[in-house]
Order: sequence, then structure tokens, then C-alpha cells
Amino acid sequence: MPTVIKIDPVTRIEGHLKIEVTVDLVNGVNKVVDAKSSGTMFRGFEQILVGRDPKDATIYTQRICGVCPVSHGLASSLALESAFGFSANVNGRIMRNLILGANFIQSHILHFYHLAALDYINTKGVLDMAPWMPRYETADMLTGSIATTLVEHYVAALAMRRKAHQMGAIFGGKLPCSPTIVAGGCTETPTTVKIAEFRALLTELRNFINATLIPDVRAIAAAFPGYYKIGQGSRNLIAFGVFDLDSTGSTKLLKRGRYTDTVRASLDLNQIAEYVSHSWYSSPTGLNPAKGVTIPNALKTGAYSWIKAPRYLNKVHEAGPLARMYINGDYTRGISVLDRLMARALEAKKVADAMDGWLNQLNIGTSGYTYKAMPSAASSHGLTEAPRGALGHWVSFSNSKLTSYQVLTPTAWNASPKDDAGKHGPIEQALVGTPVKDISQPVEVLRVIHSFDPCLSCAVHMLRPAKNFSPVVVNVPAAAF
Amino acid sequence: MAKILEAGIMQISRRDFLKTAAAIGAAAGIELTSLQDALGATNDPRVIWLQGQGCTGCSVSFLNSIYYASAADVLVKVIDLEFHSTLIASAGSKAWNYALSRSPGFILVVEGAIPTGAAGKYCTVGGDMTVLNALKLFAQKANCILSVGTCASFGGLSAGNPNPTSARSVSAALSELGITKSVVNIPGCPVHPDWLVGTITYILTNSALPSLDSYRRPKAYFGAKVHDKCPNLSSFNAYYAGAINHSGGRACLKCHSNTDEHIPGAKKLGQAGCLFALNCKGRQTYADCPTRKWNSPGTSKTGVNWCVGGKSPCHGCTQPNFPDGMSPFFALNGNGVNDD
Repeated sequence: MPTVIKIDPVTRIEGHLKIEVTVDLVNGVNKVVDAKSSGTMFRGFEQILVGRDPKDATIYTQRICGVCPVSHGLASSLALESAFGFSANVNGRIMRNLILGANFIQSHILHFYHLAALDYINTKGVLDMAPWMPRYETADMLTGSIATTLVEHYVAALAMRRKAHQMGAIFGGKLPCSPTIVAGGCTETPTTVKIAEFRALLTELRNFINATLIPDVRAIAAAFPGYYKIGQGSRNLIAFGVFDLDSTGSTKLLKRGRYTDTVRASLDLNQIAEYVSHSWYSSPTGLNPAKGVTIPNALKTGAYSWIKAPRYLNKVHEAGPLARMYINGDYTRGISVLDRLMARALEAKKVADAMDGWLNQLNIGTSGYTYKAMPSAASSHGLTEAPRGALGHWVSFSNSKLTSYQVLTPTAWNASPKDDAGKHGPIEQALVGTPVKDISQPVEVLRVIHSFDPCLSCAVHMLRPAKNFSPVVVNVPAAAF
Repeated sequence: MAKILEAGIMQISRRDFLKTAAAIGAAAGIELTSLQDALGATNDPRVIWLQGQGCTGCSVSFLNSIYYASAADVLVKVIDLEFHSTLIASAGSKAWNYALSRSPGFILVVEGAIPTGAAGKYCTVGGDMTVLNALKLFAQKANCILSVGTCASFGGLSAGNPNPTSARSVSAALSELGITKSVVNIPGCPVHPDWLVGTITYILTNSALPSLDSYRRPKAYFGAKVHDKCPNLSSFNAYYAGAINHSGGRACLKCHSNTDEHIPGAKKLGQAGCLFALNCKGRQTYADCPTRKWNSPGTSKTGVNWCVGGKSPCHGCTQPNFPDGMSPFFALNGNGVNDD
């Protein structure tokens, strides 16, 4: 007898996510047989951006998400710089990489300890108070001294991620939301003191990653080995690439590309289409983000999410650290819940280690900002990566005012609903086949969802109205969900 | 076993919040004044944290708390965080029903704006409930309501023109719901962790609200303009103060471009010094960023940097008219410079 479990809210993610799974007996074992992933918050960012000064976009778009604001600031800067055929100088490029790297480290530490780890640890006797109560307590959760150790590390990790932000603010001005990342580079100037302070914090963070984060992920993997075979998802991966190592961006620390049907291949942006058959939009389906159109319709039958369904070559692709590390050849063990956790931790190490070398490339005393006059009209895009995956901004402006702004985020790829062909998104696919021992405590479902590090403010934020857009006021019956 | 918290990991079930709170209050230098608002205060440390239309930036910023107390200390020793979707252990109906069942008297913290268009369906938060309805339910049971961040305090970016979802600040939403309860606004985009931690601790220690300005922001943090304490103030006075109202009361940059030779101070982004010519909003913005700065390295330590210190002009993120009234954020060649 199939049972539907609604998890609303899905907690320990960024933003508003609802997951519905249908659980049924499959060969005597209770398993997920169907899943629906719903983004449940919508702001209309792009309509808000229309008419504004293009240079302001770096400030506005960082507020799409407070966990990955730097990625948006960078994507925005790259899009605008592309519009006037310009690259940041060495200091601008390196400082932006360092601020972004600092936020990657912050985000990856936050994710493992504060968002994911509680799925695996029973904190009874160690943390018996809110917000760690109430909680799920399943028989397979870790207890005893390993649980106590992980809780100590959870607490230590709170300080570590704070220090990662402190480090990023040295060049970023402040975090979250860095005002120094602008079209034209970075407004800060490296000094000997700043570099030394940055390096001291980086060393502390690298030690934490090596001595605590990676061993803890391995400990979880050792205790839950079955999760190397759970949550495989679509098995296709996509990355726009990040951390430019030269002024043209042709060499990156983590390269651009995809892994489709077990083959690594290059990326052609024209092959991206966003489908809306199961999303609350009445605008055309299957559009490329460069020509995206979005008109909300919360009454649409058959739809169940504010997130669209981005596809590459009409195939479902997953974004994230696993995708980046796979496409770069740094991690190829497999695709699963544990592979996502492991690749994320190893990526934190890769980025942190590289940052130390980047500090040496800074020219002391030279500003990271270069002024160049912006054209009054252009269309362009900027591609980078947020901690949770591929991120792109598509910009158009004329008469020095924004006319359209489209953002394609990693969680749009990952938490997408079904597309027009009825193919589930990556999280939905990863959930199918997941065993659920106790439907009142579906912790296995949480483990799969959390492995993607979902960020919903990103996934649902943009709408591109037709020229005569007027808001649709609707009464949505509860049954629509 | 390593001692992570002052009290040690095995004593964390004992809440020592009054001692910690008093220490924080003293460090904050927040004064009880005769204007204190006795309404809307509490010494019940239970907190329910709701997220509406926001970006979680205020929660992430809260986790950066260290000047008064670390986030760990706040979570363990100062407040009882009964619901926060980003941090709590449980999920789904277990988490949501727990929140709904809390007895009255808690502090309600709201992050993000409240959409009222489409019957509130632009944001649901738990059990298919809109954040508008959730606000109604929780506000009625709360002893104290804190709007954290500019979206909750004033609408902010979520309510930016043309406000397609009819997003409202918490106080405006409460007004439309017919709920007459006072709200303390702690704006910022995002909020500074000290502004939030200091205010909550003051309230819990004193069972009273701190002195508030006309926008219901704690004067301890929002009582002075960024301009008033800016390290570049003397440069501003030397360069611009005398010329600010010439030619019929217009600011010089209304007519002159900031590449004109006789415009002093920073003329290009990336230059240090007074950023007035780059459209710095410090003269219109109330916040203690120049002295407190951002991203503190430790207890009672000044932050490592701030917007103007990073050579980026203040964009007025604590003000009710952020962002619409503060744009454009950058002025180059004198385009679109606001005078106040």
C-alpha cells in the first residue's frame, strides 16, 4: 500500500523546500517509488531589477542568497565585464577568487556539520535542548563517543565557518554580501598586513579541513557504507567552471564541462533549455536562459513548484562539488549520497590549498579595480560556480538601464520538478529507490536531499515578464500542493 | 575531551543565560533610559525564528556572532531556539507541529518580508501554511517581535519596485492583519550579528526594550549616521561641506562630474578616502559600521573591515528606503548622484 510522506518544511537547507515521497514495498523493503520536489517561495527578482542601473546588479544579485552571495556578485561582475569586453586586472581576479574561496570554505563547513551531520548523529545525552530537540532518533544513527566527538566538531565548526567569513572580509569588505566585488574588479588593495592576516586564517582553516572535516566525512562514510549505493540520481553532471587562473578564464581551478551518459564532454550553452510543464508558469517552455520568459501562474494544473526544469540536451544533469570534481578528474569514485559528501570535503581542501598560492600572486599596493566606461546597451552573460553548483547570469540593458536579467542557479538544476518529457529532476531521481525504515522518521530521505546542499532562494527568484506583465492574483486551493 | 564551550560540553543542559546576558549587556553599553518601552519585552528566552521572503543572509550573519558571544554560546546559553528551519534537527510535521504547539510568551524573530499577493501563496513555510498566516499565528502568541534584516524591517529588496508579490515589512503585514503589537526593527542587509545579539540579550536581561528611534531601531546601534563616525569625515568637511549647497541649494555633483579637476576626494572606485563623489550614502544612513566594522575576529574586537574601509561606498542598507531610494549605488562621472 503506497504511503505519501510530505516533508514540509525540509529543514537544514537554505530557503523553502517541500518534498513529497511515495513509499511502497518493493521486494519486501519499504522504498521511495516516486518523489516531488517543490520550491515554495518566490520573490520576482528580475522584475525588480528591470529599469535599474546595470552596475548596481552586483549589489542586488548578492541578495538572491545569503549563503552564496559572493558567487552571484562574481557572476554579475563577469556578465557586466563581458558586456564591455573587459577583464579584471590580476589583483581584481585574484582577490575575487580569494573572497569566493573563503565563502566556499565557509559554505562547505556549514553544510557538512550544521546542515547534514545531524541526519547521522543521535545527540541524546550530548545536546538535549532546542534547536537539537526535537529530533529524529533512528536505530542506525551514531551514538556514544563518536557522536560526542562529532558534536564537539559541530561546535568547533561554528567558529571555523565564522573565521572563513572573517578571512573573506579582509578583501571583501564584509560577509555575507561583499561590496568590494564590482564590475571592473575588486575595490580593495592588497597590503602586506592584509595578506599575512588572510594567510594566518587560511592556515587554520586548512588544518581544520585536513585534521577534522575530511576525517569526519570518512567516519560517516565508514559507518553508513550503504549510502554509496543510495541517491545516485540522473548520473549526469554539469559544471560552468570556477576560479579563473588567467585573465581570459580559459584555465580554471575547476573546469567547465559535463559528464553525460558516462562521457566527459564540453559545454555548449545553446543546449540548455528550461521547461515549465510542471512549474507554476504560463510562459513558453523550453527556452534558453538567454531568451528566457517567465510569467507566474500559481493555479496551473499539474504544476507543483516555483522552480523551472533546466535540462542540457534534454537530459537531466546535476550540479555541485561532485560534478566539478568529477569533470575536473579529481574525484571519480562514483555518484551517490556519500560521494557528494566526500567530494565536497575534498573540494574544500583543493580550493583552500590553492588559495595559499594565489596570495603570492597579489601585487601589493595596486588596486584590484580598473575603470572602463560601460556601453549604454549590451547583452552578455557571466558563468561561475556557487558552492552548490553551476551558476550563470544573463544580462541585457539599453539606455543604461537593465531590460532583462536571467539567473540559472545550481539548485534550479538539482531541485527541479519534472520536465515536459516527464523526467524527474536530480533530487527526485536520487530519492527513488531510497529505503525508508520508519515513515514517521524518514531520515533516509533527508540524507539524500541534504547531500545536494539545496539552496532554494537561488532556485526560485527570477521571473522575466512579458512586456505587459501584470501580477496574477490567485487563490490557490490546498489541493494544488 | 576538548572543552569547546566555557561551561564544557557536558554542562550544556544548564542555561546560564542571565549571567552571560548581563555580561553582554555591559559590553554593549546599552543604557536603560526613561524612554524605554515596557511593552513588547520579555525575559522568556524561547525564540521562534520565521523566514519569509529572504535569502538567509541574516541567519548566516547571526552565525558570525563573536563580539558579544559566539553563536554557540547564544544558542546554548542565551536563547532557546525552538524553531529555525535552517538549524533545527527535526523536519517536516515533527518540526512544524512542535513550533505551532509552543505556549505563548516567546520571542518571535522574523527574517525576510511577508508577501500578501496571491493570498500569500508566494511563500509557504510549513504544512502548506503561508508565511502570512504563520506570522498571524505566531505574532498573537509572542511577547516580543523582532524584525531582523531590512526585508523584515522595511520590505527591503523583496519589496523593491514594482513589488510583484506585494511583499510587506513585518509591521506593515501585522497592520494589515489587524494585529496591534509592537515590533523592534533590527535592519541591515544583512543584519550585523552584534545588532541582533546585543538587542536580544538586552531584552532578556532587562525584561524591557532598549531605547528605539522613530523607525523602532535600537538607538544603541542606529542612533548615529555612518557619516558621523566615518574616519573620512574631516576630509568631507574640508572638501565638500562648504560647497554642498551652492548654486541654488544643489550638491556640487548635480552639475559637475566627479572627474572634474576641482572635485576632491576619491573619484574612482578603489581609491581610499571620502567616497562622497562615488555616491556614498553614509550621510543618509544610520548604523555604527565605521566603529564596530564587520566580521569581528574575537570577543570585544573591532571587525576586520567594512564597506567604506573596503573602498566601496555605503549603500544605505539599514534604511527604510533601501534599495529603491538608495540606488544607484555607484556613481561614476557624476551620473545620478543623490543629495540628501
